[in-house]
Amino acid sequence: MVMIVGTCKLRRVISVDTGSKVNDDSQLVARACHDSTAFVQLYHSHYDAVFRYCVHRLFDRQMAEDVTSEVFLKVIENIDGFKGNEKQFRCWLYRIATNTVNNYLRKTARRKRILKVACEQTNSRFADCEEPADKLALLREAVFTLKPRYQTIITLRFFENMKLTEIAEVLGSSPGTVRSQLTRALVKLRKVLTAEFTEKSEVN
Amino acid sequence: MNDNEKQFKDFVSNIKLDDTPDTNHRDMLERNLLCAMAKQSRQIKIRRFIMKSQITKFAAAAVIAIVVLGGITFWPGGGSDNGQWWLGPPAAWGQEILASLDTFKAVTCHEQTVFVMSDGSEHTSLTWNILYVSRDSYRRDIYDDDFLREIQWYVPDGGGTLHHSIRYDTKSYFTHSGEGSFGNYDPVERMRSCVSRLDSADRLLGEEVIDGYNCVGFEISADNSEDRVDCIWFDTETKLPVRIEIRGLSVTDQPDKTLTIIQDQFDYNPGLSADTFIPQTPEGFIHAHPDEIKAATEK
Repeated sequence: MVMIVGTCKLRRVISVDTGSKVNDDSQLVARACHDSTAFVQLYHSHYDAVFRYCVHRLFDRQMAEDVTSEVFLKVIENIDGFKGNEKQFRCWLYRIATNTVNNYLRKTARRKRILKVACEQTNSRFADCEEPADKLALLREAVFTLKPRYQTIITLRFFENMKLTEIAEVLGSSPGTVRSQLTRALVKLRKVLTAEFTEKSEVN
Repeated sequence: MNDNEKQFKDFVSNIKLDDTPDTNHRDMLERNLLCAMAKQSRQIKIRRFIMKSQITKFAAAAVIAIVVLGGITFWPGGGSDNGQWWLGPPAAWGQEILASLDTFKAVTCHEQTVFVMSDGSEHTSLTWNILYVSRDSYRRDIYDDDFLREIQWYVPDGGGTLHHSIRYDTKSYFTHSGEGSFGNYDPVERMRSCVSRLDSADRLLGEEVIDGYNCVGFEISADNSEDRVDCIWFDTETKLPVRIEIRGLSVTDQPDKTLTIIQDQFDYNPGLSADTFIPQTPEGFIHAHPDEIKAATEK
Protein backbone atom coordinates (compact mmCIF):
# COMPACT_ATOMS: atom_id res chain seq x y z
CA MET A 1 0.00 0.00 0.00
CA VAL A 2 1.02 3.64 -0.17
CA MET A 3 3.72 4.54 2.33
CA ILE A 4 3.82 8.10 3.53
CA VAL A 5 6.06 8.46 6.54
CA GLY A 6 6.64 11.59 8.57
CA THR A 7 4.58 14.32 10.12
CA CYS A 8 2.43 16.70 8.18
CA LYS A 9 4.45 19.86 8.53
CA LEU A 10 3.90 21.62 5.26
CA ARG A 11 0.57 22.67 3.93
CA ARG A 12 0.73 23.97 0.45
CA VAL A 13 -2.08 25.31 -1.64
CA ILE A 14 -1.51 24.49 -5.24
CA SER A 15 -3.77 26.11 -7.75
CA VAL A 16 -3.81 26.98 -11.38
CA ASP A 17 -1.62 30.01 -11.95
CA THR A 18 -4.07 32.64 -13.15
CA GLY A 19 -1.24 35.05 -13.90
CA SER A 20 -0.13 33.01 -16.83
CA LYS A 21 -3.65 32.27 -18.12
CA VAL A 22 -2.91 33.42 -21.63
CA ASN A 23 -0.02 31.00 -22.01
CA ASP A 24 -2.04 28.28 -20.32
CA ASP A 25 -4.92 28.77 -22.76
CA SER A 26 -2.71 28.39 -25.78
CA GLN A 27 -1.43 25.05 -24.54
CA LEU A 28 -4.54 23.86 -22.80
CA VAL A 29 -6.03 22.21 -25.86
CA ALA A 30 -2.85 20.27 -26.60
CA ARG A 31 -2.63 19.12 -23.00
CA ALA A 32 -6.29 18.12 -22.90
CA CYS A 33 -5.63 15.21 -25.28
CA HIS A 34 -3.69 13.34 -22.62
CA ASP A 35 -4.42 15.05 -19.35
CA SER A 36 -7.84 14.77 -17.75
CA THR A 37 -7.18 17.79 -15.51
CA ALA A 38 -6.51 19.97 -18.54
CA PHE A 39 -9.57 18.59 -20.24
CA VAL A 40 -11.70 19.47 -17.22
CA GLN A 41 -10.39 23.04 -17.37
CA LEU A 42 -11.24 23.24 -21.05
CA TYR A 43 -14.65 21.72 -20.45
CA HIS A 44 -15.50 24.25 -17.75
CA SER A 45 -14.36 27.10 -19.99
CA HIS A 46 -16.74 26.12 -22.77
CA TYR A 47 -19.65 24.19 -21.26
CA ASP A 48 -21.87 27.22 -20.67
CA ALA A 49 -21.35 28.59 -24.17
CA VAL A 50 -22.13 25.29 -25.83
CA PHE A 51 -25.19 24.74 -23.68
CA ARG A 52 -26.54 28.22 -24.39
CA TYR A 53 -25.95 27.80 -28.10
CA CYS A 54 -27.88 24.52 -28.03
CA VAL A 55 -30.75 26.15 -26.10
CA HIS A 56 -30.88 28.96 -28.62
CA ARG A 57 -30.95 26.49 -31.50
CA LEU A 58 -33.44 24.04 -29.99
CA PHE A 59 -35.50 26.29 -27.69
CA ASP A 60 -35.61 23.47 -25.17
CA ARG A 61 -33.37 22.93 -22.13
CA GLN A 62 -33.70 19.15 -21.91
CA MET A 63 -32.84 18.63 -25.55
CA ALA A 64 -30.04 21.15 -25.25
CA GLU A 65 -28.51 19.14 -22.39
CA ASP A 66 -28.70 15.94 -24.45
CA VAL A 67 -27.04 17.59 -27.42
CA THR A 68 -24.40 19.26 -25.22
CA SER A 69 -23.48 15.85 -23.84
CA GLU A 70 -23.16 14.51 -27.35
CA VAL A 71 -21.01 17.47 -28.40
CA PHE A 72 -18.45 16.94 -25.64
CA LEU A 73 -18.33 13.19 -26.26
CA LYS A 74 -17.47 14.00 -29.87
CA VAL A 75 -14.80 16.38 -28.60
CA ILE A 76 -13.20 13.55 -26.61
CA GLU A 77 -13.30 11.27 -29.63
CA ASN A 78 -11.68 13.83 -31.91
CA ILE A 79 -9.57 16.15 -29.80
CA ASP A 80 -6.30 14.37 -30.43
CA GLY A 81 -6.72 15.16 -34.13
CA PHE A 82 -7.34 18.84 -33.48
CA LYS A 83 -4.39 21.16 -33.98
CA GLY A 84 -4.93 24.74 -33.02
CA ASN A 85 -5.13 27.30 -30.26
CA GLU A 86 -7.91 28.12 -27.83
CA LYS A 87 -9.67 30.48 -30.27
CA GLN A 88 -9.64 27.93 -33.05
CA PHE A 89 -10.84 25.36 -30.56
CA ARG A 90 -13.87 27.56 -29.83
CA CYS A 91 -14.74 27.67 -33.53
CA TRP A 92 -14.20 23.93 -33.81
CA LEU A 93 -16.48 23.39 -30.84
CA TYR A 94 -19.25 25.51 -32.38
CA ARG A 95 -18.84 23.57 -35.61
CA ILE A 96 -19.34 20.28 -33.77
CA ALA A 97 -22.29 21.74 -31.87
CA THR A 98 -23.82 23.00 -35.12
CA ASN A 99 -23.50 19.63 -36.83
CA THR A 100 -24.85 17.83 -33.78
CA VAL A 101 -27.86 20.13 -33.51
CA ASN A 102 -28.51 19.85 -37.26
CA ASN A 103 -28.37 16.07 -37.07
CA TYR A 104 -30.73 16.22 -34.13
CA LEU A 105 -33.18 18.34 -36.08
CA ARG A 106 -32.78 16.49 -39.34
CA LYS A 107 -35.37 13.90 -38.64
CA THR A 108 -38.65 15.55 -39.53
CA ALA A 109 -40.59 13.78 -36.83
CA ARG A 110 -38.22 14.98 -34.19
CA ARG A 111 -38.35 18.49 -35.54
CA LYS A 112 -42.13 18.54 -35.46
CA ARG A 113 -42.12 17.13 -31.95
CA ILE A 114 -39.69 19.79 -30.77
CA LEU A 115 -41.88 22.50 -32.22
CA LYS A 116 -45.02 21.04 -30.69
CA VAL A 117 -43.49 20.48 -27.24
CA ALA A 118 -41.88 23.89 -27.24
CA CYS A 119 -45.11 25.63 -28.17
CA GLU A 120 -47.02 23.78 -25.46
CA GLN A 121 -44.41 24.63 -22.85
CA THR A 122 -44.36 28.23 -23.89
CA ASN A 123 -48.10 28.54 -23.81
CA SER A 124 -48.37 27.08 -20.31
CA ARG A 125 -45.33 28.82 -18.82
CA PHE A 126 -46.23 32.25 -20.03
CA ALA A 127 -49.96 32.03 -19.67
CA ASP A 128 -49.98 35.21 -17.62
CA CYS A 129 -47.53 37.01 -19.81
CA GLU A 130 -48.87 36.88 -23.29
CA GLU A 131 -46.52 39.13 -25.14
CA PRO A 132 -43.16 37.41 -24.46
CA ALA A 133 -44.80 34.04 -24.97
CA ASP A 134 -46.22 35.09 -28.28
CA LYS A 135 -42.90 36.47 -29.38
CA LEU A 136 -40.97 33.39 -28.31
CA ALA A 137 -43.40 31.05 -30.02
CA LEU A 138 -43.39 33.23 -33.10
CA LEU A 139 -39.62 33.36 -33.20
CA ARG A 140 -39.35 29.61 -32.74
CA GLU A 141 -41.80 28.85 -35.49
CA ALA A 142 -40.14 31.34 -37.78
CA VAL A 143 -36.63 30.05 -37.14
CA PHE A 144 -37.66 26.43 -37.66
CA THR A 145 -38.97 27.29 -41.12
CA LEU A 146 -35.39 28.12 -42.16
CA LYS A 147 -32.79 25.72 -43.51
CA PRO A 148 -30.44 24.43 -40.78
CA ARG A 149 -27.58 26.53 -42.13
CA TYR A 150 -29.67 29.70 -41.93
CA GLN A 151 -30.81 28.77 -38.43
CA THR A 152 -27.17 28.44 -37.45
CA ILE A 153 -26.30 31.84 -38.87
CA ILE A 154 -29.24 33.52 -37.13
CA THR A 155 -28.35 31.95 -33.78
CA LEU A 156 -24.64 32.73 -34.01
CA ARG A 157 -25.29 36.29 -35.11
CA PHE A 158 -28.12 37.34 -32.78
CA PHE A 159 -27.80 35.08 -29.75
CA GLU A 160 -24.06 34.44 -29.65
CA ASN A 161 -23.30 37.94 -30.96
CA MET A 162 -20.62 36.72 -33.33
CA LYS A 163 -19.05 38.79 -36.07
CA LEU A 164 -19.52 37.66 -39.65
CA THR A 165 -15.86 36.62 -39.81
CA GLU A 166 -16.31 34.41 -36.76
CA ILE A 167 -19.45 32.83 -38.18
CA ALA A 168 -17.61 32.23 -41.43
CA GLU A 169 -14.85 30.47 -39.51
CA VAL A 170 -17.33 28.24 -37.71
CA LEU A 171 -19.10 27.32 -40.94
CA GLY A 172 -15.93 27.00 -43.00
CA SER A 173 -17.18 29.63 -45.39
CA SER A 174 -16.33 33.17 -46.45
CA PRO A 175 -17.69 36.28 -44.67
CA GLY A 176 -19.27 37.40 -47.96
CA THR A 177 -21.22 34.18 -48.30
CA VAL A 178 -22.34 34.40 -44.70
CA ARG A 179 -23.45 37.99 -45.28
CA SER A 180 -25.65 37.04 -48.23
CA GLN A 181 -27.05 33.99 -46.43
CA LEU A 182 -27.83 36.15 -43.41
CA THR A 183 -29.69 38.59 -45.62
CA ARG A 184 -31.73 35.78 -47.19
CA ALA A 185 -32.51 34.31 -43.78
CA LEU A 186 -33.69 37.69 -42.50
CA VAL A 187 -35.90 38.21 -45.53
CA LYS A 188 -37.59 34.91 -44.88
CA LEU A 189 -37.91 35.61 -41.17
CA ARG A 190 -39.34 39.01 -41.93
CA LYS A 191 -42.23 37.44 -43.80
CA VAL A 192 -43.21 35.43 -40.76
CA LEU A 193 -42.55 38.21 -38.33
CA THR A 194 -44.04 41.04 -40.35
CA ALA A 195 -46.74 41.71 -37.85
CA GLU A 196 -44.23 42.12 -35.06
CA PHE A 197 -41.97 44.36 -37.07
CA THR A 198 -44.88 46.49 -38.14
CA GLU A 199 -46.05 46.82 -34.58
CA LYS A 200 -42.55 47.79 -33.45
CA SER A 201 -42.20 50.35 -36.21
CA GLU A 202 -45.46 51.93 -35.23
CA VAL A 203 -44.32 52.17 -31.62
CA ASN A 204 -41.05 53.78 -32.69
CA MET B 1 -25.27 45.88 -38.76
CA ASN B 2 -27.93 47.16 -41.22
CA ASP B 3 -31.50 48.23 -40.37
CA ASN B 4 -32.94 44.78 -40.98
CA GLU B 5 -30.46 43.24 -38.58
CA LYS B 6 -30.97 45.96 -35.97
CA GLN B 7 -34.71 45.48 -36.12
CA PHE B 8 -34.38 41.74 -35.66
CA LYS B 9 -31.81 42.21 -32.91
CA ASP B 10 -34.28 44.44 -31.02
CA PHE B 11 -36.99 41.86 -31.46
CA VAL B 12 -34.77 39.06 -30.11
CA SER B 13 -33.50 41.11 -27.20
CA ASN B 14 -37.05 41.42 -25.82
CA ILE B 15 -37.53 37.67 -25.70
CA LYS B 16 -36.79 35.85 -22.47
CA LEU B 17 -35.34 32.40 -23.04
CA ASP B 18 -34.10 30.47 -20.00
CA ASP B 19 -30.57 29.48 -21.00
CA THR B 20 -28.96 29.26 -17.54
CA PRO B 21 -26.86 26.09 -17.39
CA ASP B 22 -27.76 23.50 -14.77
CA THR B 23 -24.74 22.76 -12.57
CA ASN B 24 -25.99 19.25 -11.85
CA HIS B 25 -25.95 18.38 -15.52
CA ARG B 26 -22.56 20.02 -15.92
CA ASP B 27 -21.06 17.98 -13.06
CA MET B 28 -22.65 14.74 -14.19
CA LEU B 29 -21.47 15.21 -17.76
CA GLU B 30 -17.97 16.02 -16.50
CA ARG B 31 -17.78 12.69 -14.69
CA ASN B 32 -19.10 10.79 -17.71
CA LEU B 33 -16.64 12.51 -20.00
CA LEU B 34 -13.66 11.76 -17.79
CA CYS B 35 -14.64 8.15 -17.67
CA ALA B 36 -15.13 7.99 -21.44
CA MET B 37 -11.79 9.71 -21.91
CA ALA B 38 -9.97 7.17 -19.76
CA LYS B 39 -11.63 4.19 -21.39
CA GLN B 40 -11.33 5.24 -25.01
CA SER B 41 -8.06 7.10 -25.21
CA ARG B 42 -5.86 4.11 -25.85
CA GLN B 43 -8.04 2.46 -28.49
CA ILE B 44 -8.58 5.73 -30.32
CA LYS B 45 -4.89 6.54 -30.31
CA ILE B 46 -3.97 3.24 -31.90
CA ARG B 47 -6.71 3.44 -34.53
CA ARG B 48 -5.90 7.04 -35.46
CA PHE B 49 -2.21 6.35 -35.64
CA ILE B 50 -2.81 3.61 -38.16
CA MET B 51 -5.40 5.44 -40.24
CA LYS B 52 -3.69 8.84 -40.42
CA SER B 53 -0.34 7.77 -41.68
CA GLN B 54 0.02 6.55 -45.24
CA ILE B 55 2.85 4.24 -44.26
CA THR B 56 1.03 2.65 -41.35
CA LYS B 57 -2.10 2.27 -43.46
CA PHE B 58 -0.13 0.29 -46.02
CA ALA B 59 1.67 -1.62 -43.30
CA ALA B 60 -1.60 -2.56 -41.60
CA ALA B 61 -3.14 -3.55 -44.92
CA ALA B 62 -0.08 -5.60 -45.82
CA VAL B 63 -0.06 -7.43 -42.49
CA ILE B 64 -3.75 -8.26 -42.80
CA ALA B 65 -3.38 -9.39 -46.40
CA ILE B 66 -0.40 -11.61 -45.69
CA VAL B 67 -1.88 -13.13 -42.57
CA VAL B 68 -5.22 -13.79 -44.24
CA LEU B 69 -4.00 -14.91 -47.64
CA GLY B 70 -0.73 -16.54 -46.77
CA GLY B 71 -1.65 -17.91 -43.37
CA ILE B 72 1.78 -16.95 -42.14
CA THR B 73 2.23 -16.60 -38.42
CA PHE B 74 4.30 -13.56 -37.60
CA TRP B 75 4.58 -13.94 -33.89
CA PRO B 76 7.86 -15.31 -32.55
CA GLY B 77 7.37 -18.78 -31.21
CA GLY B 78 4.22 -19.22 -33.26
CA GLY B 79 5.57 -22.21 -35.09
CA SER B 80 9.26 -22.18 -34.64
CA ASP B 81 11.33 -23.13 -31.63
CA ASN B 82 13.79 -20.40 -32.57
CA GLY B 83 11.21 -17.75 -31.75
CA GLN B 84 10.47 -19.08 -28.27
CA TRP B 85 12.98 -16.95 -26.42
CA TRP B 86 11.24 -17.59 -23.10
CA LEU B 87 12.45 -21.21 -23.15
CA GLY B 88 16.01 -19.95 -22.80
CA PRO B 89 17.63 -19.01 -19.48
CA PRO B 90 15.68 -16.15 -17.82
CA ALA B 91 18.94 -14.63 -16.58
CA ALA B 92 19.70 -13.62 -20.16
CA TRP B 93 16.38 -12.33 -21.48
CA GLY B 94 15.37 -11.05 -18.04
CA GLN B 95 18.33 -8.69 -18.12
CA GLU B 96 17.23 -7.52 -21.55
CA ILE B 97 13.77 -6.70 -20.19
CA LEU B 98 15.18 -4.87 -17.18
CA ALA B 99 17.39 -2.83 -19.49
CA SER B 100 14.35 -1.96 -21.62
CA LEU B 101 12.43 -0.80 -18.56
CA ASP B 102 15.26 1.57 -17.68
CA THR B 103 14.89 3.35 -21.02
CA PHE B 104 11.26 4.38 -20.55
CA LYS B 105 10.54 7.92 -19.46
CA ALA B 106 6.96 7.12 -18.52
CA VAL B 107 4.58 4.21 -18.26
CA THR B 108 0.82 4.19 -17.73
CA CYS B 109 -1.46 1.31 -16.88
CA HIS B 110 -4.89 0.30 -15.68
CA GLU B 111 -5.27 -1.33 -12.26
CA GLN B 112 -8.22 -3.38 -11.06
CA THR B 113 -8.92 -5.26 -7.84
CA VAL B 114 -10.79 -8.58 -7.77
CA PHE B 115 -12.10 -10.22 -4.58
CA VAL B 116 -11.85 -14.02 -4.56
CA MET B 117 -14.34 -15.74 -2.23
CA SER B 118 -13.72 -19.00 -0.37
CA ASP B 119 -15.86 -20.89 -2.90
CA GLY B 120 -13.66 -19.62 -5.72
CA SER B 121 -16.17 -17.11 -7.06
CA GLU B 122 -14.82 -13.72 -8.05
CA HIS B 123 -16.18 -10.25 -7.50
CA THR B 124 -14.62 -7.36 -9.43
CA SER B 125 -14.41 -4.13 -7.47
CA LEU B 126 -16.16 -1.12 -8.96
CA THR B 127 -13.09 0.95 -8.08
CA TRP B 128 -10.28 1.00 -10.63
CA ASN B 129 -7.23 3.14 -11.24
CA ILE B 130 -5.16 4.61 -14.01
CA LEU B 131 -1.52 4.83 -12.91
CA TYR B 132 1.03 7.21 -14.40
CA VAL B 133 4.69 6.62 -13.60
CA SER B 134 7.73 8.64 -14.61
CA ARG B 135 11.28 8.28 -13.35
CA ASP B 136 10.63 10.29 -10.20
CA SER B 137 6.91 11.09 -10.13
CA TYR B 138 3.65 9.21 -9.89
CA ARG B 139 0.00 9.87 -10.37
CA ARG B 140 -3.05 7.76 -9.67
CA ASP B 141 -6.53 8.54 -11.04
CA ILE B 142 -9.11 6.64 -9.01
CA TYR B 143 -12.49 5.84 -10.53
CA ASP B 144 -15.62 4.51 -8.85
CA ASP B 145 -17.37 2.82 -11.74
CA ASP B 146 -17.93 5.69 -14.19
CA PHE B 147 -16.98 8.46 -11.78
CA LEU B 148 -13.51 9.98 -11.42
CA ARG B 149 -13.38 10.23 -7.65
CA GLU B 150 -9.83 11.25 -6.92
CA ILE B 151 -6.45 12.15 -8.39
CA GLN B 152 -3.30 11.59 -6.34
CA TRP B 153 0.16 12.92 -7.17
CA TYR B 154 3.47 11.80 -5.62
CA VAL B 155 6.20 14.17 -6.77
CA PRO B 156 9.70 15.07 -5.56
CA ASP B 157 9.80 17.81 -2.96
CA GLY B 158 13.27 18.67 -1.75
CA GLY B 159 14.59 15.51 -0.16
CA GLY B 160 11.16 14.00 0.29
CA THR B 161 7.91 13.48 -1.54
CA LEU B 162 4.94 15.75 -1.95
CA HIS B 163 1.64 13.92 -1.85
CA HIS B 164 -1.20 16.00 -3.25
CA SER B 165 -4.69 14.66 -3.80
CA ILE B 166 -7.94 16.15 -5.06
CA ARG B 167 -11.35 14.56 -4.60
CA TYR B 168 -14.15 15.35 -7.00
CA ASP B 169 -16.82 13.67 -4.85
CA THR B 170 -16.16 15.97 -1.88
CA LYS B 171 -14.66 18.84 -3.88
CA SER B 172 -11.69 18.84 -1.51
CA TYR B 173 -7.91 18.52 -1.64
CA PHE B 174 -5.14 17.51 0.70
CA THR B 175 -1.40 18.20 0.56
CA HIS B 176 1.21 16.41 2.59
CA SER B 177 4.98 16.66 2.35
CA GLY B 178 7.47 14.27 3.90
CA GLU B 179 9.30 11.04 3.28
CA GLY B 180 7.51 8.32 1.40
CA SER B 181 6.93 6.82 -1.99
CA PHE B 182 4.32 5.47 -4.36
CA GLY B 183 5.04 2.11 -2.70
CA ASN B 184 3.47 -1.04 -4.07
CA TYR B 185 1.42 0.87 -6.62
CA ASP B 186 4.49 1.41 -8.81
CA PRO B 187 3.91 -0.97 -11.73
CA VAL B 188 7.46 -0.62 -13.05
CA GLU B 189 8.92 -1.64 -9.71
CA ARG B 190 6.50 -4.55 -9.68
CA MET B 191 7.72 -5.59 -13.13
CA ARG B 192 11.34 -5.39 -11.99
CA SER B 193 10.55 -7.50 -8.96
CA CYS B 194 8.85 -10.18 -11.05
CA VAL B 195 11.55 -10.26 -13.71
CA SER B 196 14.35 -10.54 -11.15
CA ARG B 197 12.65 -13.64 -9.67
CA LEU B 198 11.99 -15.43 -12.97
CA ASP B 199 14.88 -17.80 -12.26
CA SER B 200 12.73 -19.31 -9.54
CA ALA B 201 9.44 -19.25 -11.44
CA ASP B 202 7.13 -22.07 -10.37
CA ARG B 203 5.71 -22.75 -13.76
CA LEU B 204 5.27 -21.54 -17.29
CA LEU B 205 1.66 -20.53 -17.86
CA GLY B 206 1.99 -20.95 -21.60
CA GLU B 207 0.93 -18.70 -24.44
CA GLU B 208 -2.31 -16.78 -24.67
CA VAL B 209 -3.64 -13.67 -26.36
CA ILE B 210 -4.16 -10.74 -23.97
CA ASP B 211 -5.50 -7.38 -25.19
CA GLY B 212 -4.67 -8.46 -28.72
CA TYR B 213 -1.04 -9.31 -27.93
CA ASN B 214 0.37 -12.82 -28.10
CA CYS B 215 1.79 -13.36 -24.63
CA VAL B 216 3.64 -15.87 -22.53
CA GLY B 217 3.02 -16.07 -18.78
CA PHE B 218 4.95 -17.12 -15.69
CA GLU B 219 3.81 -17.87 -12.15
CA ILE B 220 6.18 -16.95 -9.34
CA SER B 221 5.70 -17.56 -5.62
CA ALA B 222 6.25 -14.50 -3.51
CA ASP B 223 9.23 -14.30 -1.17
CA ASN B 224 7.18 -14.14 1.98
CA SER B 225 5.07 -16.25 4.30
CA GLU B 226 1.76 -15.28 2.67
CA ASP B 227 0.09 -17.45 0.08
CA ARG B 228 0.67 -14.70 -2.45
CA VAL B 229 1.49 -15.62 -6.03
CA ASP B 230 2.68 -13.22 -8.72
CA CYS B 231 1.89 -13.84 -12.37
CA ILE B 232 3.34 -11.89 -15.25
CA TRP B 233 2.71 -12.09 -18.99
CA PHE B 234 5.14 -10.79 -21.61
CA ASP B 235 4.46 -9.79 -25.19
CA THR B 236 6.26 -12.47 -27.17
CA GLU B 237 7.23 -9.91 -29.79
CA THR B 238 8.57 -7.06 -27.68
CA LYS B 239 9.26 -9.01 -24.46
CA LEU B 240 7.56 -6.20 -22.53
CA PRO B 241 5.09 -6.98 -19.72
CA VAL B 242 1.44 -6.88 -20.78
CA ARG B 243 -0.27 -7.98 -17.58
CA ILE B 244 0.66 -8.54 -13.94
CA GLU B 245 -1.53 -10.27 -11.37
CA ILE B 246 -0.80 -10.39 -7.66
CA ARG B 247 -2.97 -13.21 -6.34
CA GLY B 248 -3.77 -14.36 -2.81
CA LEU B 249 -3.42 -11.07 -0.93
CA SER B 250 -5.12 -11.25 2.44
CA VAL B 251 -8.02 -8.93 3.28
CA THR B 252 -7.99 -7.36 6.75
CA ASP B 253 -10.55 -8.96 9.08
CA GLN B 254 -11.99 -11.04 6.24
CA PRO B 255 -10.17 -14.40 6.23
CA ASP B 256 -12.76 -15.95 3.91
CA LYS B 257 -11.65 -13.91 0.94
CA THR B 258 -8.46 -12.87 -0.84
CA LEU B 259 -7.55 -10.09 -3.20
CA THR B 260 -6.12 -10.19 -6.68
CA ILE B 261 -4.64 -6.98 -8.04
CA ILE B 262 -4.43 -6.81 -11.82
CA GLN B 263 -2.32 -4.30 -13.71
CA ASP B 264 -2.74 -4.29 -17.48
CA GLN B 265 -3.18 -2.03 -20.54
CA PHE B 266 0.42 -0.90 -20.19
CA ASP B 267 1.43 2.01 -22.36
CA TYR B 268 5.19 2.53 -22.62
CA ASN B 269 6.40 6.08 -23.27
CA PRO B 270 2.83 7.27 -23.88
CA GLY B 271 3.79 10.87 -24.69
CA LEU B 272 2.36 12.47 -21.59
CA SER B 273 2.40 16.23 -21.30
CA ALA B 274 4.89 17.60 -18.79
CA ASP B 275 2.20 18.82 -16.45
CA THR B 276 0.72 15.36 -16.00
CA PHE B 277 2.79 15.20 -12.84
CA ILE B 278 2.18 18.77 -11.69
CA PRO B 279 -0.35 18.74 -8.84
CA GLN B 280 -3.31 21.02 -9.38
CA THR B 281 -6.34 22.05 -7.38
CA PRO B 282 -9.55 23.02 -9.18
CA GLU B 283 -11.01 26.34 -8.15
CA GLY B 284 -13.40 26.19 -5.23
CA PHE B 285 -12.03 22.97 -3.73
CA ILE B 286 -11.54 23.10 0.05
CA HIS B 287 -8.62 21.78 2.08
CA ALA B 288 -9.62 18.70 4.07
CA HIS B 289 -7.66 15.86 5.71
CA PRO B 290 -8.67 12.36 4.50
CA ASP B 291 -9.68 11.48 8.08
CA GLU B 292 -12.07 14.42 8.10
CA ILE B 293 -13.58 13.23 4.83
CA LYS B 294 -13.87 9.68 6.19
CA ALA B 295 -15.57 10.94 9.37
CA ALA B 296 -17.93 13.12 7.37
CA THR B 297 -18.75 10.22 5.04
CA GLU B 298 -19.46 7.86 7.95
CA LYS B 299 -21.84 10.37 9.51
